[in-house]
Amino acid sequence: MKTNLKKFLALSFMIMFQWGLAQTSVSGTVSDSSGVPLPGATVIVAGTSNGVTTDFDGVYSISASEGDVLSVSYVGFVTQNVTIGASATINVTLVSDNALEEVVVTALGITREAKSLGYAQQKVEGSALTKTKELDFKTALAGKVAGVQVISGPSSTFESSAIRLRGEQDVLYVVDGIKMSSTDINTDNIDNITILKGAAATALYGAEARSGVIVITSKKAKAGETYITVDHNTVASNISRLHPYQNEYGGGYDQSWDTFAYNPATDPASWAAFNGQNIPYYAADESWGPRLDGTLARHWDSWIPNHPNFGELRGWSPNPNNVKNFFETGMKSATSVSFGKGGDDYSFRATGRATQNALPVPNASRDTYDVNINGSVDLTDKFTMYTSLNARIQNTDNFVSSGYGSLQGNFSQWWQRQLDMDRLRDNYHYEGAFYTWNRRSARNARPQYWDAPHYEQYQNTNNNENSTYSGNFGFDYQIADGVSANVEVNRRAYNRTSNSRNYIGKNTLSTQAGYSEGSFVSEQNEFRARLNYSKAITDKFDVNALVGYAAKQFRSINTSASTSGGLAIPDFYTIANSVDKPGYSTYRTNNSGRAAYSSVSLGYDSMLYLDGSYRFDWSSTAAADNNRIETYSLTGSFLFDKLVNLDGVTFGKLRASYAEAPIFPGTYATSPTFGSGTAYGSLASLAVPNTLANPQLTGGIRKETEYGIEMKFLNNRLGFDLTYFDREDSGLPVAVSAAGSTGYTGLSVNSKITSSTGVEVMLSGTPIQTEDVRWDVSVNFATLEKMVDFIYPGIERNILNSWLSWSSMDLQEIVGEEWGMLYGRKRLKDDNGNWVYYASGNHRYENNQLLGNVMPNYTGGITSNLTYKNWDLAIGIDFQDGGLYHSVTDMFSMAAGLHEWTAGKNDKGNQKRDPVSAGGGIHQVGVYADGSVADFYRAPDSWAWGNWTRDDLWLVDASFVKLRQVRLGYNFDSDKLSNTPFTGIDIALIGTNLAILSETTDWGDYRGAKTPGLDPSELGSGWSGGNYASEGGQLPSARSFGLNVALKF
Amino acid sequence: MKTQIQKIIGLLTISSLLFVSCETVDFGDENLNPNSISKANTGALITGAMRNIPSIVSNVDSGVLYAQHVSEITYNEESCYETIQWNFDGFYTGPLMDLQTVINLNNSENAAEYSSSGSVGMQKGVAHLLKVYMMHVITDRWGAVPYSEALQGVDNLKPAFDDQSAVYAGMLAEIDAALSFLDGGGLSGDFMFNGDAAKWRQFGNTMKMVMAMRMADVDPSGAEAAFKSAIAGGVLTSNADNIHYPYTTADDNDNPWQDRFQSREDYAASDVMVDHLFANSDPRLAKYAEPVVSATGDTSKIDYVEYGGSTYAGMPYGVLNPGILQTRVSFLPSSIIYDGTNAGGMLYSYAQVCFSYAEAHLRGWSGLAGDAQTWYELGIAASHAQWGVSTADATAYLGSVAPVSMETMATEKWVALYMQGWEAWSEWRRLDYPILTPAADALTGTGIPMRNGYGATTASANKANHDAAVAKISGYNQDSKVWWDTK
Repeated sequence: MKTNLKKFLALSFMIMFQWGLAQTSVSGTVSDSSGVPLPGATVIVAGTSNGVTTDFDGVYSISASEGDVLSVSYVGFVTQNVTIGASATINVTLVSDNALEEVVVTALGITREAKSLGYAQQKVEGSALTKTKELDFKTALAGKVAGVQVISGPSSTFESSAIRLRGEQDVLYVVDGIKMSSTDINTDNIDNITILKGAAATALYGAEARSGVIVITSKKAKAGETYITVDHNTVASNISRLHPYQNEYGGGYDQSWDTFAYNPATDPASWAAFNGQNIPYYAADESWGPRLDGTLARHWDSWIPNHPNFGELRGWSPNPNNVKNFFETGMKSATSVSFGKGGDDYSFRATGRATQNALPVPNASRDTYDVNINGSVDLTDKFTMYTSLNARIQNTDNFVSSGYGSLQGNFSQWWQRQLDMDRLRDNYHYEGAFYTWNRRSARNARPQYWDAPHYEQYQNTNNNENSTYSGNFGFDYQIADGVSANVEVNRRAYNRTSNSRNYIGKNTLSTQAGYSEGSFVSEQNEFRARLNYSKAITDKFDVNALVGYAAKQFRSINTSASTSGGLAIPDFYTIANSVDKPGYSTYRTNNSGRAAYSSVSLGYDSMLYLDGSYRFDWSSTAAADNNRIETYSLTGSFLFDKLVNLDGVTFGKLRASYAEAPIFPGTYATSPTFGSGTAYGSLASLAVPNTLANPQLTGGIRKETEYGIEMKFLNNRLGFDLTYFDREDSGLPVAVSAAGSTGYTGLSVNSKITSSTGVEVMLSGTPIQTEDVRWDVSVNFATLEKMVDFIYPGIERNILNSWLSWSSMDLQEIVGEEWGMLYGRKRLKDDNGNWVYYASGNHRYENNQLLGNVMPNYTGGITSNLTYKNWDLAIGIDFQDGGLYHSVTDMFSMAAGLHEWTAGKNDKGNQKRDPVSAGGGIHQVGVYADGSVADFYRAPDSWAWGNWTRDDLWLVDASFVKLRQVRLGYNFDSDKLSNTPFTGIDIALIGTNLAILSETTDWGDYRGAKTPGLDPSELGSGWSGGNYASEGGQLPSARSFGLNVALKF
Repeated sequence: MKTQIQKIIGLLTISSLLFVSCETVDFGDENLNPNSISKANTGALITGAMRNIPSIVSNVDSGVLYAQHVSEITYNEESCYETIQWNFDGFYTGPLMDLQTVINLNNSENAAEYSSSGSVGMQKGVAHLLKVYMMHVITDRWGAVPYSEALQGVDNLKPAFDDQSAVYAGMLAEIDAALSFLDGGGLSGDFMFNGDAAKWRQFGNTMKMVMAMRMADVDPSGAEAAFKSAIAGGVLTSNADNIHYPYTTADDNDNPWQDRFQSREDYAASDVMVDHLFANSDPRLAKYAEPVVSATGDTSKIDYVEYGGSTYAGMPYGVLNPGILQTRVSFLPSSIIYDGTNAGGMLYSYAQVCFSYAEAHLRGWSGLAGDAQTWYELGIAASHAQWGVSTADATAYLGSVAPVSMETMATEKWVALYMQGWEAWSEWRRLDYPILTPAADALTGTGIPMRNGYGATTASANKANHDAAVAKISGYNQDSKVWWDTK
């Protein structure tokens, strides 16, 4: 009895003692790094089962003793261990580990942890692309990705932009595993995109992807969400920048007035009164004519028979806004409806969007309809099926193109400055006949060179309808623990029909009507099967491997037909109505390929990763006895912040990668043929093609090395990503230009070697992060230098584009120089830097001189997102330094007397266009060929027509800083909407193409300051094609403002 | 489960290995280009090459301008010799390569495969003759050009420039060879002469005669020999034999002059020609120019002349920015710009042949029929008949014309070669009559161009040979004379 009591008492005493200690209550608040409390966080005394969760305010209270360790954890955050000290209040701040566990979609749609990737890639959220609701995917990407240069298409047209990724344009666009054209992507349906930049990143795609892949993942309904959203925006755009025109002199070739001479033999008697009236030189399409001083004259529309203006004398006065008056306010409106529902084992989403877009150019419009549907179902817990279907239907009326002879060419190169655009619009088509400002004479209403601009837009119409249907169908099957299979088929079918007509009527420039029609049909089918294996071998070591097979096929048929010799029955636009045998041609392309690939990834302790991949490709386009190529890559990444603990560094990774990616030759490149020419009557004609085909053409190869470092500081508030790449392309199949006297202008050989190096930097930070305000800024910057190392033995130059100007300027590749050199005529300077002149006063010049390099030195952008409570302000800026192109608009606007520099005062204070003998003219200083001093004045028209072929006068430095996008939005609180059917409303003001903040404003020679004209960030492809070396006539840029409303139900 | 996994992995590994062991995959005919034929049809190649002749005989790039037959109305830079560099690549890569391919295929062991287009002899003969025709124009324009080393593709990437004397020697030999090939075995695709060997012989010999006359100053004996050999072979004998490119009325093969005037009016008869014809009361004035549309307004810049009840005015030649309305000057004849099937595309005319005979007599070459004066008059009459002047008017003109001499013969030949741009310019350079004044607003050079400069692409793609050729001529510009142009 006695002993039991002792034991009991001792036990009770110990228990009481323990209880006494345990009963110390520790409490505090658990919050994240921005001070926001975390409800539902778990607080456990380490090593025990004693645990609590934080309440709605993030507050916890737990019994623990001094010296115990509290383990605080929360999903998505790094678990923290805190030792209890003397204080009973312990507040814990948890750091988000989002950045470390971020998951990225990589090649073939495989998701990987970002930290494990050893190559450069960049992820852009879909919402970042749709801030200002741009329709063109490539334009939406401008300034957001390091290493991507966007050459915008002229913004008052439908021309799409072009992208150079690390200097190459053959980037692949993949949407949910389907290869798409960049013009068929519905940006509103994008959840996120991953830009895989180098050959190592894209190695699993094979040869066609070596210049980069933009992997786009569409929005999908997430588990537990049900929604209907309606989104609408209306945007108005107006021309924002016009070429600098002079408004002092009107149309004509010289400043003296011609007068009407009444001819009683041929003119009606009433015309006797017109004798002696001032007659402008209507037939001139230049503006070197009389001064716009209000002199009464017979303008072009005063000769329209039966018109109220007939016989009217009107002042010869300036109309500075005539070109601007041609354009209207363009309106774009887009409405989309999406709905989606997701559950634990299914997901379904559908969206439809209708867009109407009318350009600032009159009578040009485009309707686009997009439908995107995707769904997936987990039929069993091991078997998931998924499918997606996309359709885009587009109808364009009067696609306006750039290039010489286009509308902009008319206004800025060949025009009369005094013309009244309203009168042109009202009178160009009167009583069934057409009238132009460019009539041949007072008595002859036929045009000399130009119809009225409205005639071009309203009579010579064209139409283009295209549709793209694409979709995929596949399944994932979990075979066993860690082993899964994926099989997928996808297809894309594209169909385009287009037609255009050449109208004729009374007094039209063209006297032969015409009609042409074309159709382009293409389809691509792919099949893929893949086996994945994922296993943690030890608790530190894990392996991911895959092996797969792919087959693909592509077909296209391009047909075009046009009338010849006119239309037999007028105004009946069909090919059968052709007077002579219509022109007709068809072009077919077929190719197919097979591939087998595998990759292995090893990870050690989430700190060290090593990846390798290998892929075989076979293609029908290669020589039949040698049609296999191998692509392989090796990448490694080392997360050094796990090993070395640095203050303030929350993440640090070193990456290195190497890849070899061979290339296949183009379809039919190895198949030599003769070209068909125009027949003579019933006799067919053939011609030997100018490029000698090479039946043994093989693939060249790209070798790329990349090094990178990524670091994040200050709780991920600041981060940077730096990449250096070095790429060498060798044995490339290329059409090398040869001396024409060999019989060929090009040979198809495997010999070219080029190399590119560059640095890409991405800086991102969150300078302000409080409960109400958050400000994220990111800056990206990239340099690129692409050199031509070798072309062919004995050949040092390859001409890429020739005859870009009337002086045989061309774009060349030259061994030892940067790629893309413009060569042409350059004004001559003597050894002392003086201009050398001919006796005529024109600049002496030398042919075949280096004018400059078309590629920029660096490109980049700044993105800023500021949120304050419910407001958000997003700003996008992109910039470029360097880049050069030749401007035909500058050239002819000077030669035709339209440019403001051709008028105004010279350095003597006299009108430049006054006769030189009276103190006018442009001052020219230099020397003559014999060395004697040249100091004289030259009439502006003589200067312009004497020097227009000197290409170095018209080079444009395309450096710019552009404020591209601004969005100001307000997001309603969901609790404020509880009485409405909506669960979310977002209203935003959006603006695009807002301003050029910085550009070149000097001609760089005696011409002095240069008033900005065409937007340097825009360049149409209508003149120099895909090389963007020259502008032949381009429509001006347009600025847009609009409103976007997004409703969520 | 484990066996299942093993099975699947095994299967996939085996299939992968199968693929891995495949060196190539057979895609069958997929890469055979369905859009063009891979086997040549030599007849069609000849058709294609012939279709390049209009760009020579109806060309407006400088030939007709330098000879001052035609003036530009508004954009006069070419009349003022603005372009110095001209590119000959288009000839070599286009028709010359097509013709060389016909020759190569007929010389190869598979020649029989191409027999559907005609006999080997006809194919080679005609191909050689057309090749020489074009090379002749090329060398007369540029001087030293690639000839013996040209058209060899990848076997000779940098053809050397042969001196013009070598080119002429080579061309004459090539004509002789070609003439010997012509066996009358038919030729399909020949829309010029329909396989008629006799006509081709006539073409070849007339061409030889013209070439011979070109050489008359630099190689009199060689020229005389070639001339006599040409006559022996048979040259044109009347206007019925005139070799004019057969334009059609259909758009695809119509006269390029028609296309130039479809919506623009850039060219007119030059004042040099109109004033000359008027001063000599030459009835061809009404055929060489159209009456002006409206002869009113500023007469200070234009010379109006009255002839046959109509007013004519030649467009002042070689004046930059003249500011003259198209309606005030005489256009090119409507027989060329609106019809063009029979004018504006002459290769060789009987008038040319007559004048060559006259010149041969003036040079004292022996053993030739007739005499200088007779041939001279025959040439003038032939030219008038060619342009549709009535015999009465032609005879009246003949009565007033000065007796034959090198100067008068050259001047009449210049008039007769109207619209035969390259011939007119070459003959004027050689004969130096009539006296032509260079353009008043010449932009380059020191006078009327004596040759075309080599193009920019040749300068860069064949640099060494180009520079070597340039070093041999006196100065790099169009003022230096070609080999046969001695003064």
